[in-house]
Amino acid sequence: MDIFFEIQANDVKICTMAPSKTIDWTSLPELVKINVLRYLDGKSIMQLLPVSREMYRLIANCKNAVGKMQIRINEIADIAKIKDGSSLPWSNFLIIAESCDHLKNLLKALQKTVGAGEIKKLELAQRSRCTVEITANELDRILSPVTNLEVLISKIFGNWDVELAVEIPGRLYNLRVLEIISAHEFDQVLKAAPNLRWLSIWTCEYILGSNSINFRRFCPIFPPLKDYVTARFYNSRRDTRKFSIEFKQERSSVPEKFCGTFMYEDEIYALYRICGPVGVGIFNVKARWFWSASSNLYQNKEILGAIRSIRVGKCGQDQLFLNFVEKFDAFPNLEEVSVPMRGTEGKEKFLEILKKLEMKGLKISRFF
Amino acid sequence: MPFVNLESSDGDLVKVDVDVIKCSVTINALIEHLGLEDDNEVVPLQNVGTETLHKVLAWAKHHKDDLPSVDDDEDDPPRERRTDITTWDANFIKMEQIQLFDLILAANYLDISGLLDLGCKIVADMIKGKTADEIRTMFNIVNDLTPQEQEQIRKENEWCEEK
Repeated sequence: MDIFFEIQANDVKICTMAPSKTIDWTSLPELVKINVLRYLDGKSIMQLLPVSREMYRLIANCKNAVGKMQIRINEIADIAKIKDGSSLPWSNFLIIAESCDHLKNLLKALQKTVGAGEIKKLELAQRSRCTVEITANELDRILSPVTNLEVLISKIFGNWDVELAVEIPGRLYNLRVLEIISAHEFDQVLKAAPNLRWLSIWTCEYILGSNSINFRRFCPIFPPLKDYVTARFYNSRRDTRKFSIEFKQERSSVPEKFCGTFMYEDEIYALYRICGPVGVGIFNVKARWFWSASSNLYQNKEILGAIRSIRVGKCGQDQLFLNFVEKFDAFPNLEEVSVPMRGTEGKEKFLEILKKLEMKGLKISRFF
Repeated sequence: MPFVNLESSDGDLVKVDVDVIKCSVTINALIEHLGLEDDNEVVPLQNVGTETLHKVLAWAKHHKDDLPSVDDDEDDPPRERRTDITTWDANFIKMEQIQLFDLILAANYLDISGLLDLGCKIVADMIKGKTADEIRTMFNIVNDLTPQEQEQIRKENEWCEEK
């Protein structure tokens, strides 16, 4: 650190200066600091807390940063520690359960400890090598006192039955964000959440095998979702233009068994009819099926604009996708191309095309 | 008016295509409010030095055809923003920390959200994985927390750490 001496008549001051080649954090405008926090995960934000009083204040006052500091709960003992004088507005919790009973016990203890009304965000997950299943009625019974819940992310398997919506219309009144593993009749949960603004549906082909036809049969996303969403969100979308619907797939460790939900022309059309061009992002469209079966889609540029992520290079099908690669340019909002090219031929030519896409700013994921 | 003259804080004039610098909300507003109509008018930028201004313009030229970014909605999930950086941006942003600092301040002053985001991503990357002590050293931050306050923060958060 550079030091200089400023000599005055009857006084000597020793002043320290910022190192000449570093960023002086304290000189950054507050909005810039908040912007930096937005690019940090919860763990990094936790590391920043003890840096200085100013940093602590900045984080505590930044809604986004506090939101990312999520409490991870494995056991009742973790919950008991919440009582130990925490002054931060903890309201986000990740519960990792090993069984349905374990989950129920943790949830009950959490509500008793922090107060059910204080819980704003809840993420439910299961321990590795465990399968946690819970019925909608059970979950509803547990969550019914959590009246201020705004975000529910459930990565446990639910059995959402029809009676739920009949009994509790508007029960999840404050729920704004729902990320859920799709299951039979999951749309009934949506009916209890009239103010939902963000929906992500995680589809897992491994639940029911790798055959997408079987998958759709047991998980009929479109008929119930279409009926529901068109009725429920029409006004909201017209008034605020902020409603978003996002469909995701959980990335499988075995790409070849990855089951695409939106592979076919009718599926793409159905999603477009439900959501319109507002806030729609379609991820993981399988290029092989999409390109070969959907020439009509090219006449509708708005649909093409909804597609953000394309997955190409199904094992053994490279010959087919190498004929369609030039069509990447037809997707004006494409952000990502995922390419599992294991065991395929013609890599060199395709790599050239990927390099051009990368130069345009697209994110390219390659799995060789 | 296809061109505008930008005057840096060092007093240097830089002629730039208006189409290139349209990403700057500040400069657009200045052009509008000053009522500039011909190519010889000068827009003073008192907070941006010549070297930094040239870097800003290089970035703006490369990104002049980008679509405008969409602001996050407060109601959106509090997820981490996308942190991927294009190859061009990654090469562009390779610079001394002090230059990065000036560039961030310039992007903030000129209200160029894309460039500001890029700078913030880099600063965030610098923070990731560092201890509190390392962060203080890196950013010249004085630890003004008392030992009692530090202990309190540690206690509050020890049970949130990954297990």
